[in-house]
Amino acid sequence: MYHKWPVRTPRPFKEKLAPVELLVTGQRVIDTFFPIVKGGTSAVPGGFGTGKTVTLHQISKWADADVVVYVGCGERGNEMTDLLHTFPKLVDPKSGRPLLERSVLIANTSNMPVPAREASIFMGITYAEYYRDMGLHVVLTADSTSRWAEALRELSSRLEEIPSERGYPAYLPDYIASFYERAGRIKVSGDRDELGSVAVIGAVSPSGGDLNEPVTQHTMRYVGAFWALDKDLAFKRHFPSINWLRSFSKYTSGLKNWWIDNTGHDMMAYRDKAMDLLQRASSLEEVARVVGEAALSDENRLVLLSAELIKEGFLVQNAYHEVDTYCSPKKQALLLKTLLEFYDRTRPMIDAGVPISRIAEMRSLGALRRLKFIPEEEFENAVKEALAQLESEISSLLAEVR
Amino acid sequence: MSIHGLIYKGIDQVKGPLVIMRGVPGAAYEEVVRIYSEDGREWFGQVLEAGRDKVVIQVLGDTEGLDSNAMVRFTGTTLKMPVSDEMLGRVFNGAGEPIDGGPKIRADDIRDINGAPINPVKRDYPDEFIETGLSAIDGMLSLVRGQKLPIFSEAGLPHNEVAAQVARQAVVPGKAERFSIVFAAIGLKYDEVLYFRRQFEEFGALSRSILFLNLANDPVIERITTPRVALTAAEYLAFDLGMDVLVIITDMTNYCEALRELSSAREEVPSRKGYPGYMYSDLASIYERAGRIIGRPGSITFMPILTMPGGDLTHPIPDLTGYITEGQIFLDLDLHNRGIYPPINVLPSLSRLMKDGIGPGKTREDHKEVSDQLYAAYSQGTKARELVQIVGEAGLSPRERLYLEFARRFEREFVAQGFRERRSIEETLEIAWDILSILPEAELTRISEKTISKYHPKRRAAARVG
Repeated sequence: MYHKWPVRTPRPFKEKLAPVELLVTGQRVIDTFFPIVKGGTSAVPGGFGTGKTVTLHQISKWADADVVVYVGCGERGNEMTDLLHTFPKLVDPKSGRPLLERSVLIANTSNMPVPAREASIFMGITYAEYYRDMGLHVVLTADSTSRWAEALRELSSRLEEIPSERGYPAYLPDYIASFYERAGRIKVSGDRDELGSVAVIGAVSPSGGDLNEPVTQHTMRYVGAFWALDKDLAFKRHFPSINWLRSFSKYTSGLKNWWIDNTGHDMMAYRDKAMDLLQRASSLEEVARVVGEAALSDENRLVLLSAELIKEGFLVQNAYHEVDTYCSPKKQALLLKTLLEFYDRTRPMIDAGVPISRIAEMRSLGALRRLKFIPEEEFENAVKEALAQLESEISSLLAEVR
Repeated sequence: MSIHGLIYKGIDQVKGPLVIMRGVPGAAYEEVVRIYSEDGREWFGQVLEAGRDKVVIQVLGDTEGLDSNAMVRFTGTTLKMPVSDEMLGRVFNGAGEPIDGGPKIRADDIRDINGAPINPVKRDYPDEFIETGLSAIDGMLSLVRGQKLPIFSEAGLPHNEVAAQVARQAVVPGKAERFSIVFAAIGLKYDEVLYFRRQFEEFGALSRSILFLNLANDPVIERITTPRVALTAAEYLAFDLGMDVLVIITDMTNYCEALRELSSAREEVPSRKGYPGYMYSDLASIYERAGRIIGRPGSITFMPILTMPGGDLTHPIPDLTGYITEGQIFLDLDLHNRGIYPPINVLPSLSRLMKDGIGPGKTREDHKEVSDQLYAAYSQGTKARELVQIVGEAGLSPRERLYLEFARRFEREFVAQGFRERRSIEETLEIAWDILSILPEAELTRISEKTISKYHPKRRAAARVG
C-alpha cells in the first residue's frame, strides 16, 4: 500500500513486547555464544580488515527473517555490487525464491553525497518499520553507523555548531539512541492481532580500532548484543573474528527454553561449559607466553588442546565454504556437544598417565576438527563415527599405559 | 547574471593560499579563477566559498607577491582538463599541463577532474586475477582487475621498488596488450621521481604510460589536484578506450598533509590530529574511482602508496584509507632489516577481493586452501618466535620448533624474491607446498583431504613410486 512517511518519525504500534525468540543467523559464534533475538539490537565494532562487512553480509543472507533491509552507508562501491550480484543467485531457504526478493538494499557508497548518507539510516529503519507493520519479522543491517555519525559531524560543522567530543555534535548520543530504539517486537496497530519485529544490527568502524571513541561508546549503551571483532584473530584468519572474551549478549538467559524446545538440547548449558574452557585456556595462554607451553602440566595442556578444538572446530566458520557458510541450530547443538565430549573423555586419560603428546596426536582429533564441514544430512552419522573412532583410540592408548 | 569573462580589481585580503574578495555577485562554487598581477604574473585558483558579499578563492601555487591591485577573472567553468589518447607516453604536472617540452594535448574531450561517482548497480564486480609475479602478493594477497589495494609503508622502506616491480611485471593473463599505467607522484623528492622515470624508460613502458609529477617543491595546492587529474586520464583510457589501467599514486600521505594544510588555512574545525573531519569522504572520492563498469571493457586498478607516520597503523591516514580500500599490502621494517625483499608482512595484509579472483579457471583449485593454511601456519610460527625471546629455543616444544622453522623458510623462500624475478602463480604455489610439507599432515587443518592427496609433494612422490 503506497503512502508517505517522514523518515525521522517512528511509525506507531499498539504495544512493545519483550523479545524472546532467537534470530537464527546460522553463524555458530553468534547463535550460540552471543545471540540476538527477533526485535533485538546489536553492534559490530571492528577496525578495517576484521570482517565487519562479511559478518553483516552473512546475516543478511541467512537470517531467519521475512524481510532484510541492508543499508550500505558510506562504504565501498564494490561491496554493494557484490551484494547486488550474489543476492539474485542465492535462494531463500524458506520460500525457495531468490534472496533479492525479500531484501531492500539502500546504497550510499562513500563517494556519494554526505547529506544523503545522514538520511540513509533513517530511510532504512522506516522501510523496516513499514514491513513490520504488516506482521513480518525484519532485520535491518547498517554498514556502517560510524560513517553516518561522520556525516552528521560534517553537516554539523558546516552549520557551524559548537563541536563536542572529537568534533561530533553534542546531540550524537540522542541520535544514536533514537535510531536503535526503533527496533523491537511489537503488536501491530490496527484491528489485526499480529506480531511484527525489527532487529537492528549496526556495524561500527572505530577510528584506529579504538573502542573508546564516542560512536562505539554511545552505541554500546543502547544495544543488547555486542560483537567485538578482534584484529589479532583476524590476522590469524580466525573468522568470524568475534572475540569471545570481550563480546556480550544480554539475551542468553531468556533463550534457554528456546533451544530446548527447538533442538532438544540445553544449549545454554553447553555454552557455559565451553565458555569456561575458553576462559581457562585464555589465562593459561598468558602463563604459557612467559614460561612456554612445554612447562605447563599435562592437565593444563589438555585444557589448551580442548579449547583449541572448540576454536577450530566450532568458532571458526568459513563464510565461503559451501557447507560451513550456514549451520542450523540443531547442527550447532550436536557439534558443540560432541566437541565438549572430547575434553570429558580424555580428562581421565591424564590421570591414568597417558602423556599429552600422545593425546594430541590422535587421528580422531582431525576428524572432530573437520566435523563442521559435513553436510546436515550426513552429520549425525559422521558424529557417531568420529566418537567411535575417538573411543577406540582412547582405549588403545589406555591399554598401552596399563 | 553571468559574470563570465568579467575582470574584477581589488582584493580584500591574501591569507596563505586563500584570497578573499568582496562584491562579486554570481561567483559560483568551485569556479576556476585566473589572477593577474600588475607586473604580468599569473595565478590560477578556484572558488572555495561563494557568498553574497564575500568570495574566498583558493590559489593554486605560491601567493607570494600577490597584492590588492591584482586583477581577477572569473572563467565561469569548474576545473576541467583535456583528455586524449595522445597523453600516452607524456609527462604532466599536477595541474595536468605537459612538462616534457612536448606540444599541448589536442583534446578528444574535456572532462571535469572530479569525475562522477559510479552507481553501484552499474558496477561490474572485480573477479579477474592480475598476476604481479610477486609470490607474497599473488599467493596470499591476490590483486584483482578493478581493485583498489594500497601499499602501507614507512619512510626508508623499498615501497618505490615494490611499486616499480609491480608496474613492470603485472599482466592480466591473456590481455597483456591492453594494459597501461598511469603514474602520479605527489610531493616526491626529485631523485625519487627520477628513479621512477628511469624505471619506466628502462623497461620500455613509457609509451603505454602517463606520468603526472608533483615534486616536493611544487605548489601544495597542486597536490590536491594531482590524483584527480591522474584518475581523470585513467578513466578516459579505461572506460572510453577500453584499456586495463593500473594507477599507481605515491605518496598519499603528502596528499593528506596538503589537505590538512588547506583545511587549517580555511579555519575549519579539525578532527583527529588536525586532519579535517571530511577526510574520509575526500579520500573516498579518489579511491572509489577505481573499478569496472558494466558494458565497458576496461578497468581501473588502483595501487596507492602511503607512508605511515611513525609506522603507526592507527594514524588517521592509514586508518581511513584501510576503511575505503579493498585490503592493504603491509611493508614491515623488521623484515626489511633482516634483508628480506619485498618486505611484505602478510599477517596484517589483506586482499578483500581475492576470494573471487582465484580458484579453478582463474588460478588453481588449491590456491584458497593453500593460502589459508600458510596464514595459519605463519601466524603460529611468529608466535613461536616471540616465545624464543623469552624461554630460548631450547624451551620450545618440538611442534613449536617445527613452526619456527616453517616461519623462517616462509620468509626466506616464499616472500623473498629478486627485484628482477618474476614468478608465475604455479611456481608460487609449488614453493608454498614445498614449505608446507615440512609440517605433519594432521596440522594442515585448512586444507581438505582431497586437495592434500592431489597436491601434497609427499603424496605425489608416493604416487609416482607406487
